[in-house]
Amino acid sequence: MLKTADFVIAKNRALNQNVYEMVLTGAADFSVAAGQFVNLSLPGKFLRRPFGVCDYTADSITLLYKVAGGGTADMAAMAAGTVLNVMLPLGNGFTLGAIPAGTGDVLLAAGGTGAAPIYCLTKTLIERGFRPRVALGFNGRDDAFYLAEFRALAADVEVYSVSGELGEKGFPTRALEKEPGYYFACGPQGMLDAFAGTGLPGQLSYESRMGCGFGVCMGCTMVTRKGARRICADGPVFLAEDILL
Amino acid sequence: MINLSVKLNDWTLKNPVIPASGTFGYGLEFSMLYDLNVLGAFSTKGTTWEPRVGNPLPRIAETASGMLNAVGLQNPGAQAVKSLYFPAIRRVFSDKLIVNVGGHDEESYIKAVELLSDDPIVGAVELNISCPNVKAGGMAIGTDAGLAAGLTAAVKKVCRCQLIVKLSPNVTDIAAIARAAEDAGADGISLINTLLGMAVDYRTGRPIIANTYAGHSGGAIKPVALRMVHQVAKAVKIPVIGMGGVETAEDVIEFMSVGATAVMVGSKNLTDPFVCKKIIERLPSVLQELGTDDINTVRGRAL
Ligand SMILES: Cc1cc2nc3c(=O)[nH]c(=O)nc-3n(C[C@H](O)[C@H](O)[C@H](O)COP(=O)(O)OP(=O)(O)OC[C@H]3O[C@@H](n4cnc5c(N)ncnc54)[C@H](O)[C@@H]3O)c2cc1C
Ligand SMILES: Cc1cc2nc3c(=O)[nH]c(=O)nc-3n(C[C@H](O)[C@H](O)[C@H](O)COP(=O)(O)O)c2cc1C
Ligand code: FES
Repeated sequence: MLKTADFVIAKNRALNQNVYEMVLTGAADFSVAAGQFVNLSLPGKFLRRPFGVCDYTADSITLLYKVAGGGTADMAAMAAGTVLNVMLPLGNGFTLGAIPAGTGDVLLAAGGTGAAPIYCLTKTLIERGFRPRVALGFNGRDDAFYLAEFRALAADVEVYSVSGELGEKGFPTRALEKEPGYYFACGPQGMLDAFAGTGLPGQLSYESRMGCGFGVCMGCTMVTRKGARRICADGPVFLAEDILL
Repeated sequence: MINLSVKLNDWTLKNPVIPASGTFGYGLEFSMLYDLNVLGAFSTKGTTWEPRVGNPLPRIAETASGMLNAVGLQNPGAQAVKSLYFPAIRRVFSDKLIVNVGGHDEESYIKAVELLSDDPIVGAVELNISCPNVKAGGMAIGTDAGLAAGLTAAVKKVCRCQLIVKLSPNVTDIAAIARAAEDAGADGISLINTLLGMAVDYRTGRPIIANTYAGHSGGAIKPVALRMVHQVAKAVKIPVIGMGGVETAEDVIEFMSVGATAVMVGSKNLTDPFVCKKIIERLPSVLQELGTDDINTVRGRAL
């Protein structure tokens, strides 16, 4: 059930020079799932800011955010105890039921802050008995974050960096060199295009600038094989077979 | 008892608060958040004869106290709206609504109005001659008094309910366009649609919106909207519906003070989906503060 509620910042810490982790605690009456997102109202900003759910408990939500402009810069300076209004849960999460039965090799690929929903998905899949392979991509060593957290989930973690300073050189699309039985990907447009272009079965999580985040303004529409779809309400996760390249 | 009801000609609305076109979809998402029956009415997404997928992304940008949109009238087309959406709306909303109609030429407007105005759920057609985000029709008509009058007269002939003409603020003499619409048979005027604007990314030096130009809305445009509603209310005798940056009950009173009979709330629905309900709940205490028990007494105080 969609709602808006005040949450309190319980924790807000830098993971590197640009990426932060924020834990929000709030009214215990909400539900979210891997691949869904929340929309934060920030003081002095007209539009809400969308962020993927990285983790959650019965009364908290963890977000990972990169400072990309004025709103996220303001967030980075917020102290614990600050109250933020949150709209949630938004979008359809990953559809785990679409993984064909008996699929052995499930690849979860993230570029940059695409790691947030992929962390949540990794956790969920492991809880359900999967042994996913995780591929994380960063620009260089200074941009990396959450490696220890991913490894603590005991997942099989591959790291890629554009500069080659960390892990394998290249984009997380290199993880496709070993063809997965199914994949989930979240990251920059170029990475999503490369995954969708393989024709392999999987799911991709998209982003766009949003007016509302709950399906009423038509500000985020993408044309798919099934027609015009709202990234916020019909996505942000789409089946690879529905993507028009 | 405080009276919030207002009259758009022979249509009595239980209060003057109406969610604006394009910010409320067809009401169905909002019906899951609150009971739509608290609203005076609501205006649907701009509906055209043919289905439209709209403009490429990005369509949205933020401004100081507002936003830009270049959606481009994405909608499923008049036939789908009538056969699928109207019955679904009927299940959650028992009053009449306003159907916002767009088009690319006279014939497409006429076909859509003819089909949609015939449905008993429709209390008024809001003729959108002011959309800045489509190449043909839209603002091209609303910025030319002759074209606006011609289209109004043509549509009026087939419209089976009230015809409200929605004006563009992207003109030098808004009163002249309003009078042209009134003379051509409009039953009401609504304004303002969005102001043509632009956003640029300083890093790339490129426009943020794929379509380059987009419509500016939200609190940022309220002073322009108040001025134009004031000018139009002085120029015409038919009811005026004011909008542009309305976010609070006090804003509603301000728009009524410059002559509006009813008030539409647009962009704020996107960031606070409960805003219309909150405004309606708060209106009685604002009227009490003003020492009146009838909202109609605040109308026109600034004229
Ligand atoms: C479904 C979804 C999930 C997201 N999840 C995450 C996440 O987990 N971590 C993370 O760091 N970022 C995420 N983003 C991107 C994040 O929303 C933007 O980086 C952020 O809104 C930028 O705000 P700003 O005020 O700092 O930037 P500004 O450029 O000042 O913002 C101006 C306006 O543009 C919008 N905007 C700017 N860049 C983007 C963008 N890349 N995507 C969408 N809107 C943008 C802002 O929301 C705002 O409305 C997600 C976006 C979407 C759509
Ligand atoms: C995302 C968005 C979509 C809109 N779509 C329409 C539309 O389809 N038809 C129309 O007449 N006006 C449309 N408008 C204009 C609004 O109805 C309103 O005139 C304008 O936004 C000013 O009011 P506001 O400042 O309260 O938003 C749209 C506005 C926004 C923000
Ligand atoms: S952001 Fe408004 S419909 Fe998706």
